[in-house]
This record gives sequence, C-alpha cells and structure tokens, in this order.
Amino acid sequence: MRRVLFLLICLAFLIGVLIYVPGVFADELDDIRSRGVMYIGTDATYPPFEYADEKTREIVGFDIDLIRAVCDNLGLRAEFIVVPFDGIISGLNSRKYDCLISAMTITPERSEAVLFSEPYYDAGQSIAVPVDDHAIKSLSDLDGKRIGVQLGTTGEMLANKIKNARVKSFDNIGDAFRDMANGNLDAIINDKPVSQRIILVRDKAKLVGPTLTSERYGIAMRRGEERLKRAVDEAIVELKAQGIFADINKKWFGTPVIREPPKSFAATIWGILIYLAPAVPMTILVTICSFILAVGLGIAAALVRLGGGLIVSSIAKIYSDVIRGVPLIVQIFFIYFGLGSIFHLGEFWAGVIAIGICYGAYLAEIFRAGIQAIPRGQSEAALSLGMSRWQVDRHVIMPQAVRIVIPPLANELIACLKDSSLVSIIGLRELTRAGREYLSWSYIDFATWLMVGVLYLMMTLALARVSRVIERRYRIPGLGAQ
Amino acid sequence: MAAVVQVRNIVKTFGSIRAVDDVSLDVEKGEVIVIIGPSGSGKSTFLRCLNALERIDFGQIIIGGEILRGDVRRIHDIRLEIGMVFQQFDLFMHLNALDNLILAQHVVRKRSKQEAERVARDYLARVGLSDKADSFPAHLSGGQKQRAAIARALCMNPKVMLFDEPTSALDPEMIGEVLDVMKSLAATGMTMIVVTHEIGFAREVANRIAFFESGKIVESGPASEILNAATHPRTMEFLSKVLK
Repeated sequence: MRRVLFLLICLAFLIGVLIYVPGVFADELDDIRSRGVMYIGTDATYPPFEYADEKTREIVGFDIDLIRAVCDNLGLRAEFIVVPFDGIISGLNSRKYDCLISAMTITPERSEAVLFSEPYYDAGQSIAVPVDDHAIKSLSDLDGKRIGVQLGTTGEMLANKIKNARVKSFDNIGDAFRDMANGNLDAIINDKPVSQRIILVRDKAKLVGPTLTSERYGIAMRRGEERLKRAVDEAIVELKAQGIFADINKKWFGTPVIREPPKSFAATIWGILIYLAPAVPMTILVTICSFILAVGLGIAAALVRLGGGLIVSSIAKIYSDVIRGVPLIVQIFFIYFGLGSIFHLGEFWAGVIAIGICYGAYLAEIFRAGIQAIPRGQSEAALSLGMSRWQVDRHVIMPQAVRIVIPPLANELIACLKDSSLVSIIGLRELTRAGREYLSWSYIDFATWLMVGVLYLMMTLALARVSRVIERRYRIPGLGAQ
Repeated sequence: MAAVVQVRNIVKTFGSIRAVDDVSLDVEKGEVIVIIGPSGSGKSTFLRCLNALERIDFGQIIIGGEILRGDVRRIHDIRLEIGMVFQQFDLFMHLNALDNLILAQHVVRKRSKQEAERVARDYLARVGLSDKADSFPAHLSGGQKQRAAIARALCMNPKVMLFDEPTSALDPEMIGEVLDVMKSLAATGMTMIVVTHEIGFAREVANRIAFFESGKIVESGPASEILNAATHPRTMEFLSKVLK
C-alpha cells in the first residue's frame, strides 16, 4: 500500500513538473527584448507560406516575411527553427522557440494549448481532386472516398467528420498531391492558398466547390505570454497601417507563379545534387557523433555486465533490453519533445543522444559477445605468467576482442548512418530533410528520392570499403572469418 | 633444506564434489614429479591449485617459503615463480611467437623491450624455434605451439614448472619433440611437476611418481618402484591398462 502511494506521489510530481515548467518563466517579452532575438518555429515545407528557397536554401514565404516585419517593428532579430508541423506545438511548449508561425489555423482545441495572436490571414479549406475527376463537386460527394490531408491540420479534422471516408494523413501536403497523382486518393482537403499554389506548379489537380470554412491563421505563443501577444498584435496593426502587410500579400499571392520551362533530366539531377550536397556533411556529423557516444556507452555497458556487481550489471541489462525494445523514432520523439521541457536540447543533440543511446544498446551486445568469444585459456595463460587482471584485459583480452568486433561494428556504423535519416523528423536539416524540402516546392519525386538514395549509397559503400581494409589490416591469423 | 613446494592437506570442492581431497605433497629442488591417474581424478585441478588458478577451500600451499594466500598482489608475485604449460598451449592469438615471449617479461618483469627480446630469442633457440619467431600461433603446428608455450613460461625464470597434460592435444608424431624439450629442461635441474599419461617419459625422467584417484594421492614413490612394483590395487590396475 505504501509503495503504491509513493508511486502515485512520484507520478503526480512528474505530471506537475511537466505542466508547470512551461509556465514557470511566464512573461518572456523582457527576456526576448534583452537578448534581442526572437526564436520562431516553423515547418518550412508549406509554400507559399513557408518553404526553403531552391537557390539560397533560405527559409522564405508569406509567413516568414510577415514575422520578419513584426520583428523589425519590435526591434528584434528573427531566428528560425524548423520543426515538423505535427510537433510544432509541443516544441513551443517545451520552449524550443518563443513563438511559431506556420499557417496555423486558430481553433478552440489549439487555443487550449497555446495563445494565438489576432488572425493575420483568412484561408478556407478547399477540396482538390484529380483533373479528370468530374464526380466530386462538394463536401457531400466525399462519402466513402479516399481523402488525403496533412497530419494535425484543420483539413484532417474536417475529413474525419465525413461519413465512411478513408482519411490518409501525410506529414507533408505535397506528398498527398503526389499520392493522388498516383491514383491512391480521390480528394484532398487542405488550405486553399497552398493547394492553389501546388496546382499552379503541378497542373495535375483542380479545386472544386466553394471554400468549406473560414480559417484564420494566427501566430502562436505560449499561454500566459499576454504581453508578448499584445506587442505582436500591435506590430501587425502598424504593418497594415504602413502598407507593409499589403506589400507582402501582393508579393506572395498577387502575382501568378511563373513556371520555368522544363529542364533536361541531366539538368534536373544536377540541380537536385547541388541542393542536396550541403546537407551531406550534417548526415556525416550526426552519424559520427552518435556513433562515438554509442561506442562509449556500449563498451561501458558490456564491461559492467560482464564484471560489475549485481546492481550495476542489472541496470546495464535493463538498459540494453529496454532500448532495443523501443523503436528508434519513438526514442527520438521522446527525447526531443517528451524531455524537451526539462532539457533544452536542440534538434542536433537530441538526435545524436537518441541515436547514440539506441546504438549503444546494440553495441553493448556486440562488445559482450566479442569479449566472451576469447577462450578462457587466454586469460589463464596470461594470469599464470604473473599478469594482473587489468594487464590481462589490457594486453590480451581487449586487443583480441576489438579485432573480433570490427566487422559487426562496421555493420552497425552503416546502419547508424542510414538511421540518421530519422532525425529529419525533428527538423534537423540533414540529407533526408533536404530531400523533403526540395520536394516541397519542386514536386520532382522520382529524381529527388533517387538522388537522396544514391548519396546514401555512396556513403555506405565507402564505409563498407574502409571497414574491409581495416578488417584485413588488423585481422588475427586463425581468428574469425578469413 | 625446505622443499620448494610444500602442499599441506589441501581440499578443493566444486559444489558437492571434492575434486582435490586432503592432498599433501613435498617437492624438493630439482625434483621431477610425475602425476598419473585416470581422467577426472583431480590431477589437473591439483596442479591449478598450485598457482592459484583455483582457490583452495582448505589446507596450505607454500612455494619457496612463501604461503599462498588470498592476497591478490602476493598471488601475482608467487605466480612469477611458477611457470605453467597448458594442454591447449594457449599462446596469445594476436601476437607472433616472439611477442608471445616478450609480453609478460615486459609488462610484469619490467624488462626493457631489447632485454626481453634477447631473452625471448635465446629461449626460442633452445626449443628449436628460432626460425618461427615471426609466425603467428595459427601458423604453427601443435608441437611448435607447445614448445613456444614452454619457452614463454621459461622466459620468466620460474623456480618451478607445472605441466598440465602438455602432450594430450598433440598428434602422435609431435609428442616426441615436446617431450624432448621437457627432458632437456629436466636435465638442467629444473623443478617440475608434470601431469601426463606418457609413462615412458615418467620412467625415463621422473624422480617420483604420484598416483591420483578420486581427488587423493593413492600411492607415491620413486618412479621405478611405482612402475615395477606398485602395491595399491588401483595403481596396478591403472598401470596394467596404460602399459598394455
């Protein structure tokens, strides 16, 4: 009974901390003013509101220009932090940025979680269908149809209310349009200006029926930041009075998109490569940092499990069993969003730590097997020559164990490189994320994913080659595969 | 003069099994003792107790006047005085023959690399392996490996050498070369305790033979006496089988 009570108190305390922490430092305006920088969360895959420019790789769009103007007005510098839309509110509440602007519709549900500015844009939801479809005219025609939406959007909420509809949620609305072009969807419900722009570029879909809703976009701040909200609202009013707002509106919605003439395949590939290449070092950096952490954790866990006391070796066993039993992507979400309100890790370190901890658990098993593969006679022979336990490990066991584990270690490194793509989900701009950004406005799926794949393949092949050379160089005659 | 090795009433149990059961034995300097007996009679365990690879449950072992106790540092020092040769050779797989001989001299005896190498080459020559200095264990024959293992133990200048069935894992044609090395070692006056089934070696080299059964020394005495006129029925039965 007492234990149950204790657990309940712990739980209550934990929940209290999680709820309380975001509000602890309420009233951030003074903080922001004193540092002179406003951190802004946005999911830059939603043209024309926010997306990465093809040439400059800068984040651009209607929302971006607007918030920059707001910051100018407040005498602040704007710093953008890229986050996927479905985690963008968690990111705000775990204090990864001061506000967010990401074509976010103001809804009662969201107003429970964040504090919205006054609406700055009114966009309705509209239905998009394939160009050759003539059956769907309005919302009532969507019964039992396959409908694409973006995860966590008002379009999704709307679609979920349609009878018998099979709703498929996408991380990125561009993916939904691609899926519809491939014949997997009958319709897409999404913000009208965004759909309109995609159609302008792609020409494979059309909008039907009247606008379904009035959807007003707002800038979101943490609840309780009333002074910040007031400052932002006043800034927008001033921008409207000065005509700056109208200029921004005209820039992004007033002029038709000029479609570039189709490029040759080679030119397309080259364009993609030029865009993706700068993201390769980040993939390599994430991989190296994660793997160094994993090797350290793995060796420590293996040694502790083989030679530690009952308690520490049990901890090591629990570590490796638990971590290996949970998907890496869940661990990444947990560390970035779940623990985000306690530890202020950026997306880079959150990703590195999640991957490092995860691979450490696998490496621990490999190191353990490697050490256990050394016959007992080796250490007995060394002991009988008068060596101490430590000297035996240092001069006899480890040199052999390390060489035994080189091949499986190399395999894990290659797997780690591939799994580094998972951190794209928390917005780190590595190779996979760069591919998605490129796609968000280019819509060249085949070639983009092909080139992303080719770049990964080049890296993994190079690693495999290097590992074979190392393996051959340090191979012990008669031990392991020849 | 006190015996180099004095064993007083030692007992070693594994669970409920008494592998070594109240054994006493004195070994004088320069003596060669051969231990014979059926498999599982505790011969190897007894030998492993002598350099603390097995911790004894009861009794006392005195090596060169020093009592072997649980103190880890003292155990390392005493092991330095005792060379051991194993059935499976147990050369370090990742080192060539020369480095196998150098390693412990360097890290335990603290000899310089040059000094250790000089000693190593000297002993390799004595066991007839000068041309195999650069070979890895995987590239040596069983007999060569065992000779290298003997040389490795000798490099540490032990006062006593223990041999745990040194020829049991060898092909028949390689047994002779290893026994020859052991014979010449005995001729230099080295104190040796040898667990073996090679009765011929015992007859030729041993000063004394001890017959082990069920963890006890059933009978012991001068080699010729035991081999030609054993008195205990179990010794006679065993010898009649192995001499057949």
